[in-house]
Order: sequence, then structure tokens, then C-alpha cells
Amino acid sequence: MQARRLRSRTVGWGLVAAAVFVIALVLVTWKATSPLLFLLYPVLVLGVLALVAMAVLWALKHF
Amino acid sequence: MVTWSQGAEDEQRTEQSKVTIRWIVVTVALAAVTYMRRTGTVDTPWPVIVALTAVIAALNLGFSAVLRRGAPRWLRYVTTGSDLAMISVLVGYSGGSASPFYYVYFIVLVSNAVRYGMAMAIVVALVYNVAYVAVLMVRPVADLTAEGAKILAFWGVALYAGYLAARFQRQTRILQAYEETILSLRARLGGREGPGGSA
Repeated sequence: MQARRLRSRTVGWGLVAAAVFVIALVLVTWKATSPLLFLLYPVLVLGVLALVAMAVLWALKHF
Repeated sequence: MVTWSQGAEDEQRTEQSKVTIRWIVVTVALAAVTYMRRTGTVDTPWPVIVALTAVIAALNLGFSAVLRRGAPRWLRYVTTGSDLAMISVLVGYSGGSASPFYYVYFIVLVSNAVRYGMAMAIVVALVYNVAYVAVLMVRPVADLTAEGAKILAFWGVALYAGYLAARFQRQTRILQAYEETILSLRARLGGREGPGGSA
């Protein structure tokens, strides 16, 4: 089976998604109207972490 | 090489040390809450203090009983989850977000992250996140931004502690590999030299 390669376009979109997640984190913290919104934190924090890790690993391989 | 039985023994020792630490922390925390209740600093009802003490003591005795036969892998998650749940009840009943016992969450985080690494640090942060939201639902606060920042700060500490623990674990494994190489080389050298000491 051939290993799937990460393409630069995927990494780019991943970074855009990470930026959106960071903005969502700030907005949830700043404008939260209910504590239930804080339940989004795990998805957002781990999402940012995973997407940034993907981009860093891709960059380490290519630069 | 670390064998399965050695890993299980390590886990058993780790969980036993957690039981001891839990007795100490519980004794200190409940003595503090009793004192603060008497001085009027917190308004935790007496039945809650008694019930918390009884439940934590029962859980700790139960964990000790399980650990006598060995340390199943699920135990680390059960002990961590129950610790966080008990702390949340204490925080909820002693002022919610303004509780002086809020910082006890960090003891659970750091002690588990150091022992078990990044995966456990994320589990602790996840359970804390849900538990603290439940506390905020029961004890509403006016400034939710500050509470959000507190939860995010906890995530930050969890990820950093997990990263440091992972690095430490990697270095330990490298050192272990070096030791094994040195031992095997020494054994080979001893075999070549023979009983007289010459090649």
C-alpha cells in the first residue's frame, strides 16, 4: 500500500483552519454568554495543536 | 528492555504512591475546609464535608484493595477521574469559581502528567474542562471571560506539563538503551577475555 503524502495545499488549508480555530477560541472566551460554550475548548485547542503540528512536521520535511 | 511485568510493577508502584498522596491531600484539604467553615470563610454545608470525606476514604480504600492484586490499565483513568470529580464537588460547594480550593486541580494535573505523560495530561484537561463547566452551571458567575481564561490557562499548563513529561520519558528511554548497550558490550568483552583476563 502506498503511503499518503501531505500536500502543501492541505497544509495551507490546515493553517487557515488553525487560524479560524484561534479566532473562535478568542471569541468564545471574550463573548461567552453561557459556560456551556466552554465545552468547545477541547475541540478548538486540540484542533489548533494538531493542525500546527501537521504544518511543522511538513515544514521540517521540506525545508 | 522494559518487560511487561516490569511495566505493570511500575504502574502498581505509581498508583500506590498516588493513594498515599491522596490521603495526605485529602486530610489537608478537608482540615482546611473544616477550619474555613468554622471561621465563616466558606459556606460548605457540614453534610457535604462529611459525605466528601467518606466517599474519598471509601474510594481510596477501594483503590488500595485493587492495587493489592495488581494495577489494571483502566485504574489510572478511574483514579484521575474520581479525583477531579471530588475536587469539583468541593470547589462547587466552597464558592464555585472563587473557591480557595480551585488550585487543587493543578495538583492532580501535574502529578498525573509527570507520571503518565502527554496523553494523561490531555485526559486531565478534558475532564477538568467538563467538570469546571458543570461547576459554573451550578454556581453562575458574572464575568465569564475570566472563567474562560482560567480554563484556557489550565489547558496551557496541561500541554506544557505533558510536553515536558514526554521529553523526560524520551530521555529516560535513550539512557536505558545506552545502559543496555554498555551491559551487552561488557558481557561480550567478558566472554572474549575468558577467566584469565586475556584475549
